[in-house]
Amino acid sequence: MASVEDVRFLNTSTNCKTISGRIANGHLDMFGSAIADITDIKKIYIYDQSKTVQLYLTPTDSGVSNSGGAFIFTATSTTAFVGVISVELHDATTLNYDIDADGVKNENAADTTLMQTLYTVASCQIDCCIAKLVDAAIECHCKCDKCKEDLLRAEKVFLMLQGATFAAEQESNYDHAVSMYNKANTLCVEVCACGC
Amino acid sequence: MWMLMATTVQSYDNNQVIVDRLAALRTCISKKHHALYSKMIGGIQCDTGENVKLTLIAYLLQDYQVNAEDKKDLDCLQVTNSARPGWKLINVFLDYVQRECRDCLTIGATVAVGTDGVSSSPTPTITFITTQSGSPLITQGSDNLIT
Repeated sequence: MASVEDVRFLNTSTNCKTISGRIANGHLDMFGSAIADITDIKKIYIYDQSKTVQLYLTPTDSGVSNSGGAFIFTATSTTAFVGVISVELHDATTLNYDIDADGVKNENAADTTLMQTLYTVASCQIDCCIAKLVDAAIECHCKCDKCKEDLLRAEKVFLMLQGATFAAEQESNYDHAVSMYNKANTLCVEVCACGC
Repeated sequence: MWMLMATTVQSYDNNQVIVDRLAALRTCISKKHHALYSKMIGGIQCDTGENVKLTLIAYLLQDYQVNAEDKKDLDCLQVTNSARPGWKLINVFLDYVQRECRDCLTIGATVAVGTDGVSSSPTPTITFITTQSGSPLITQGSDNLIT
């Protein structure tokens, strides 16, 4: 796995269970303003598209450091992230606290100020889909166009995944990223009903 | 007249094999894409199938290699290939690279097949028939002749 210094913002591991990130002083926030001091980051909330995996980090947790002008973190889940991953940076620790002790966490999210949200894509499921389709294309020995179908599908899936990744990481466009990821996923799971 | 020699093909046991294959694959893709470019500007009808296959394999191998410190056995390229007993997807892809990109590979280099030493499934050893210069002999279907 690439070291966290090698990545721009976020990196997910091959098995999509570990996410690491690096936010440096001067990093632009969602409103185009730079985060002058990364020590203002008090809590990180990481979750995937369906919120099946949700992690919370604070600067004092293991795997987190915020010295030298860079906030660096690594978080591992027991369950793999799927789809578009959101990483929210908050300037207060109240997020996910049960402040009024009513047994419900995270209901007081308004108490904290969301500084910035970063996005990336956990591509494991789609990568496996592409691998299977390419394998099928390689192993296909038909002389007709039948062999091309798997390859064309793999190509489309790859393009959708690439689009989703760029939309998430480059444009921070969550909706576009989710749309393209879902399309890639649909291409992977749908079965042609025409017997072709 | 062809002089036949045997090249033993072994299972890989370290990440360097993947690194070497990727380097050759990138060179191969560059050459094939340039050939495609030449056909396109020449107005020749061309099939992009092989280019797409190699590009997708490069993408998958890149991810496999970059994240080599993860548990590789959990990677989807470790899934068993149903068409070839004892083979996994990683082996199929490396074999495909060996076949399609032989001009970009070191002559006589071994190709990764088998199971990467996983004891739960067999590690096949395949011997390709090669020419004196080390190039594998292939059938009309572009498959390697093996013993």
